[in-house]
Amino acid sequence: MLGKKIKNGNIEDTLNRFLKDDQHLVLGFEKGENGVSLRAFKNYLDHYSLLNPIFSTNGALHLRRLFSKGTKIILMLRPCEIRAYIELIKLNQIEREDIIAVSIDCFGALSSKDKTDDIPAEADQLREYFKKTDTMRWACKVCRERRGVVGDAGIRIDRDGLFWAFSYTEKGDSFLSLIEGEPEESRTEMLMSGSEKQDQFQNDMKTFSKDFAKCTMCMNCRDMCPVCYCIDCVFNGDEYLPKGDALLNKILRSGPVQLPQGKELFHFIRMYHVSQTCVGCGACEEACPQGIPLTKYFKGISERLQGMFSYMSGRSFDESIPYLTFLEDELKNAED
Amino acid sequence: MKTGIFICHCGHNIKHTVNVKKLSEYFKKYPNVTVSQDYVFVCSEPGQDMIRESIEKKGLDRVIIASCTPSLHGEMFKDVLKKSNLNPFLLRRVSIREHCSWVGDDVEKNTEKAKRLILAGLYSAAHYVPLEEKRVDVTRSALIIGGGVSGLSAAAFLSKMGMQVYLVEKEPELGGHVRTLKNIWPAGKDGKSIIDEMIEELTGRENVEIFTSTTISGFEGFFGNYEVTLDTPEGEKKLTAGGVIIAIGFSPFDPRIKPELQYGKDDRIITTLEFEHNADTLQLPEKPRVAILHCVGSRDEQIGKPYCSRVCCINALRVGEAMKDKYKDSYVESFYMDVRAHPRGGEEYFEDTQEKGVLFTRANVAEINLSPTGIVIRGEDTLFGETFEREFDLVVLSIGMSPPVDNKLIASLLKITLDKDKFFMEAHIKLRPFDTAVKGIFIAGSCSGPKDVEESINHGRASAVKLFGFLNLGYAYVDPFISYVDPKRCSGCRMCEQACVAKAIKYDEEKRVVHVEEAACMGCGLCNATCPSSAISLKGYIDCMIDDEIGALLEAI
Repeated sequence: MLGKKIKNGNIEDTLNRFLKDDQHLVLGFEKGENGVSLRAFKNYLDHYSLLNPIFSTNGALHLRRLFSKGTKIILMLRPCEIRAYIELIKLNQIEREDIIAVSIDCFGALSSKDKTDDIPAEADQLREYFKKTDTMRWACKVCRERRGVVGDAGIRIDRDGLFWAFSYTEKGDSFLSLIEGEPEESRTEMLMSGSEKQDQFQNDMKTFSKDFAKCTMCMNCRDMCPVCYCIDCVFNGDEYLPKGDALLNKILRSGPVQLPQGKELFHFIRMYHVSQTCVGCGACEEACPQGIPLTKYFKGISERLQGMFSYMSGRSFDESIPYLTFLEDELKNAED
Repeated sequence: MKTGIFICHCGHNIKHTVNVKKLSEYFKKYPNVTVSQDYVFVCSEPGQDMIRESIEKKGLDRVIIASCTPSLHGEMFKDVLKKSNLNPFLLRRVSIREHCSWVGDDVEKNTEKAKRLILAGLYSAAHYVPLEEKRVDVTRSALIIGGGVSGLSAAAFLSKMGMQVYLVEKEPELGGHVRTLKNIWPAGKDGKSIIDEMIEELTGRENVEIFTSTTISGFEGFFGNYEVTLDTPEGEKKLTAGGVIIAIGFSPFDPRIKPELQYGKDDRIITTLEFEHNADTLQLPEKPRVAILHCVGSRDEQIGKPYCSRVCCINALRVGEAMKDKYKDSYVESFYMDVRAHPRGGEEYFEDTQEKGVLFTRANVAEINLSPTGIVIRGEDTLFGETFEREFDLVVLSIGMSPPVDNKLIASLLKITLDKDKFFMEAHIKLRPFDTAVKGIFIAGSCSGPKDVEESINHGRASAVKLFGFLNLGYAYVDPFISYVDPKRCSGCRMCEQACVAKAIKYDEEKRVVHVEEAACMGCGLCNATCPSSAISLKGYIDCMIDDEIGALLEAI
């Protein structure tokens, strides 16, 4: 494949050149005193980091309902974040026109809840680090796509430790044209080739009620989910989960309920809503104050469902979400 | 809220297995129930007067009638409310006859069940709001797709009634398959003369526009005002049609799908259609041996055509008769599963053919082999359970009807559904056999399933009459049960747009929300179920209404 080799520090120069325009933004990672975090850069890059070894939220969350035209934005994010961004485009929640999405090879990340002091942010060191310790987030361990092959362009790292930029769409071409140098054929194999075969993980519901017994209905998982996009959730207000007098009325009419009520219903409805677009990033589990293993269920069930339709969320811009395609002949097997 | 509950005895029908007195007493305890009464026949004149009197004197604002099934006397009870100046959509019918008293004999259990059903009605009716049937202006014009016998007969009727008719035909000539037939059974007429007669009726009428060699490239809009784009030889043409009749016919089954029949490899193996066209030019010996195979491409699960094509038995009989008439000493053998001589006079015709000397063997034909001297048919005689092998000079395959080639194209363009055999599906097989699920779009002729010429003509006329009834006044009323969108809740993900069969949902690019075109909405509720934010509701069937109703059925009384 034809790509552009990125020499040391070249990516910062490229992005800085892009940022000279006042109307341009870069969404990427910043290495600060307190670790690496997501940052929107304007005018120039400061302490830029290509990789982010700590996962706290999914970056696509901040792009929801981004419709303004005229401000050009380059996203330099993880593959799971770019995939969520692509799903949001399909759901008309983002105006794609002025955004270039660049996915970067990801080596996995630590949970922001864990101790993150000694984690390096350089590619080769990070890789060694995860080889030595078993501290990687579970969602990252079972990730389906860690390669920078989604979005408009991708940044890949080859076996010699060199960085490459590849373009996948026309927007990707314009990103590549910002980088100095001529396109050349990459001869070395990439560090991450193909997606690794993952172990089968939990996707049955045997321990569901036990796992979710701890839920306090803070609904953080919903708020932090990048693809849970409704402006007004059905669980806001009294319709599904009555409070006060309405609750009392319900209890008097239909008998006692557990409080907070509707835990299972909430998670089931959310699962039903996001299972076709879930990218398995684990942001829900990251946001859960109770440590409920949400990824296990949401990722497990969504991957099985997407498999039924030969669909993978965020794999490409053109694949339509099964929910959005109405075919008369589909799911013939499920009929019986 | 003042609710009136009227419980009908239906003479003895309900009373003998449901304790109606207990029921009417029970509901008096509910604070929002003003009247709870039972009566021997609520549908009778005095019964209706009783309801009217209660509404007028007690000021009822909800009426619940617990009686027979809602489809019976529905309009009549609505009129009762209208006469008392109450919105007819504030009426709730509860079926305690079909769903209760007729089901079992246990009075205790039946009464308990009736109680729950009425309670569900009571809870649900609390959410009722007055609704209005909406009047929409419609264009008095019809688009007829397909210029075969069905399309032509529909066009003839509609144009005679003074409606603008646009007749679209894919081929350069009108007439479809019937034009090519030399003899229409049992009329004995030439197909071309029938078609010419029908075309003659249309020519000279100012309100008929015929487009030949034309296909449909675009279809927008909704009932009463469909916007159609035609692809004519002169270029694109746009027109507005109030309704549509689809009459695109069928395609003859291609026996090449069954390779064991060797069709196409030898010109001594022909179809009934080819026999019809070239019967006179066939080269046959003086005493020909002719085999006729029934059910080729019909009643065959393996190739996905389990249906009977209805016309092919008669066709097969006609081939047998023709052979016997032409060659007195011929040997003609028909291999059949059953002979289904459907139309009037068919059974007599079957007997005539037998008398003329055509042999009928109930058999499964396994394969056909070509030999230099003839064509060998191998199979099993299913009456005697024996295998046989016989040689013939000519094999005629009585082919069935397959769905039209453009079925998927038309279905996706007009957003209508196909049945499991890929013919167009009717809205209801018995009650609405000419309608599709989309209002104002009708089907006619063999595109909705195999039909003979007579049936196709009738079907075409029937659809035309129904369409005429819809459009004649220049306006129509649409049901108030339509979807509406709460713009504050809508996220603009456009999922509902995909689910909508009627294309009634429109996206507002500027506000980034959707809205429902009221005239187009069929009230099916698909969008309602699709919306993740519950931003869409169906008028008359809002979510909390259904929730409360289920709650009433399940809760402890």
